[in-house]
Amino acid sequence: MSILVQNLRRTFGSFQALRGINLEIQSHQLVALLGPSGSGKTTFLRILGGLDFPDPGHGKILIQNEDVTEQPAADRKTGFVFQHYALFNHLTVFENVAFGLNVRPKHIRPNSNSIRDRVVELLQLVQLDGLDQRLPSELSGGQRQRVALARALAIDPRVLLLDEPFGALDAKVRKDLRRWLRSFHKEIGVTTVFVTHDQQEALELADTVVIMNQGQIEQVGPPQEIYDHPATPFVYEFLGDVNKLRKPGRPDLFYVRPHEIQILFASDSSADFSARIEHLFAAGPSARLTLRMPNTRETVDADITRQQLDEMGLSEGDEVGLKLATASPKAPAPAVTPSR
Amino acid sequence: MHSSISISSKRPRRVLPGFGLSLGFTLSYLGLIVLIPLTLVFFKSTGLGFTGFWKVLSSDRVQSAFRLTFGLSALAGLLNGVFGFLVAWVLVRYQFPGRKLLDAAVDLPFAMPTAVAGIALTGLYAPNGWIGSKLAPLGIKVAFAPLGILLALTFIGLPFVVRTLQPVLEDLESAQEEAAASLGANRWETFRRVIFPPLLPALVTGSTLAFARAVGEYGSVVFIAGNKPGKTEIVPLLIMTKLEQFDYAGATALASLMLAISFVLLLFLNFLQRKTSLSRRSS
Repeated sequence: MSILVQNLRRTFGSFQALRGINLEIQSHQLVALLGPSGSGKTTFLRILGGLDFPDPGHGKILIQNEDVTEQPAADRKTGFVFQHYALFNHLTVFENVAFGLNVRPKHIRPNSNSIRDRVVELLQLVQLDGLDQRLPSELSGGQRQRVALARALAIDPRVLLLDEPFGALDAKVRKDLRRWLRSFHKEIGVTTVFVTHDQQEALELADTVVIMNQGQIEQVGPPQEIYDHPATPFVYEFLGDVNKLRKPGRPDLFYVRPHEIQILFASDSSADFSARIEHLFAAGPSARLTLRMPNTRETVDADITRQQLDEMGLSEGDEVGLKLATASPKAPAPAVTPSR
Repeated sequence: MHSSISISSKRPRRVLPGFGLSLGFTLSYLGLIVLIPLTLVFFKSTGLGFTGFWKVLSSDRVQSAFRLTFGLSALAGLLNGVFGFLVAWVLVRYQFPGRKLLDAAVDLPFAMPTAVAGIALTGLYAPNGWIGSKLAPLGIKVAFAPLGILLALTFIGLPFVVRTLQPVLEDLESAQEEAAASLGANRWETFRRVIFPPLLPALVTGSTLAFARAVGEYGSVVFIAGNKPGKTEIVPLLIMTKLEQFDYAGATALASLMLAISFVLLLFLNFLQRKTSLSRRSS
């Protein structure tokens, strides 16, 4: 279901965790809240789930056009999956998943047979069938994560909120689970918002990426658009893999990605800069060069094809010319101070 | 020679050295401090023979003392379970000025002679005392009545429940409560299904400790009880009385029965403690 957030503020003492968040999320979307730690993304997610509340009078949350700003978590019907799962350790997997149904008031509680059917169905959905009598302590991290997901889904949530869903897992499981979650979301179609600080995770998984910094939203858009057209210097730098460059004789900085730099022979007169190859490494079809600019002593990364590397016969220590692939640099960074 | 080598090579290798030495020390230490004195108690009482033993234990005065001691101790254990839980809950879950002082005050019943506690409680609750004089017109008699004994036994047992519960309460993840809330559970359901079950083993352990302590309590009770035979006389006092009359065999007969009951209790307690630590490890 759709979510609409208007001018949301949250202050902890003198710290402004959220300073005026406005966001609209369409139904059935998979949305990533991406930002460094301390950017307010988890606070925002908790407020969406009713586990925290905005400063009184500052902000409004609508789920499917219903104002839920003052609604406590128990009435909000949002499925929340915690970073460390928060499973009930004294209950079996079955009882964990059934929890949200068992605590319903008598007149709307399903009978025990339909609860059983629902739990079995959910455990099949998260590929944990047969583990229903295990305790959480007898499961692996990835399995616990999926129990937490099934438990949140049992209440037929209007939206699903995931706090750093893969944060506590090792790299291999993380990758598998990420792929699984993508297809899983397609299958169930519940509007899903997840928090992450991993840009690759956000870009690979989400339909929409919301980039947050210091309690504010920097940019909202589809991953491709965010990557290709970063709106602010922060987004440019946060997405990573970017060079900060200064044109000779000009004070302003601008950003350029490694694949947007052309490598030419040093003698080529069309080069914008000259530089020396400090390090080169070829993996697969592309090669990454680390270049040092002789005049500013800054280093720059550039990606070229393996083929070009071989044809030019480049090796470490060679002098080369650089040319920016795009005629005018995108998103010049007027406000960036070179101190970083 | 050959055989000794084959034996030593069959012994499983241990990571921690010194098992033999430390076990030997433990056994001799426990033997000297606990087992030998207590065995002597049993040994002494055998002088009575079975009929003599039975005769001592079957007297009305002894039986009512046992009923009083174990009945009131169980009640005190339960009371401490309820109110100790409340104290631990408040100390762990809320922030308020003076919390640290209050926390330290919980240990006071351990830190002073129980006789002092008994005299202080008697002073307060005697018919002419501060609180006792207010209760007397209502027909409630505390000092020199079973209620007074219960009060003293509850007083000296309080720290057990609070101190066993506190660490478990502190370990509870707040995320679990939030998870319960987001799944639609109200405060009561959250408490009943999520908060309370992990606390239960520690609560039972603490209450059992308080109960065991109350069974053996002497110092504070003798001042507030009034010590009327058959009415407000507890077993430890009865043992003292028999000793003063040089009835050593009778005293040890009572002591033996108390020991037997206490031992069964402590076995049960150990079992519970193991359960607590198991459930905590899994979290």
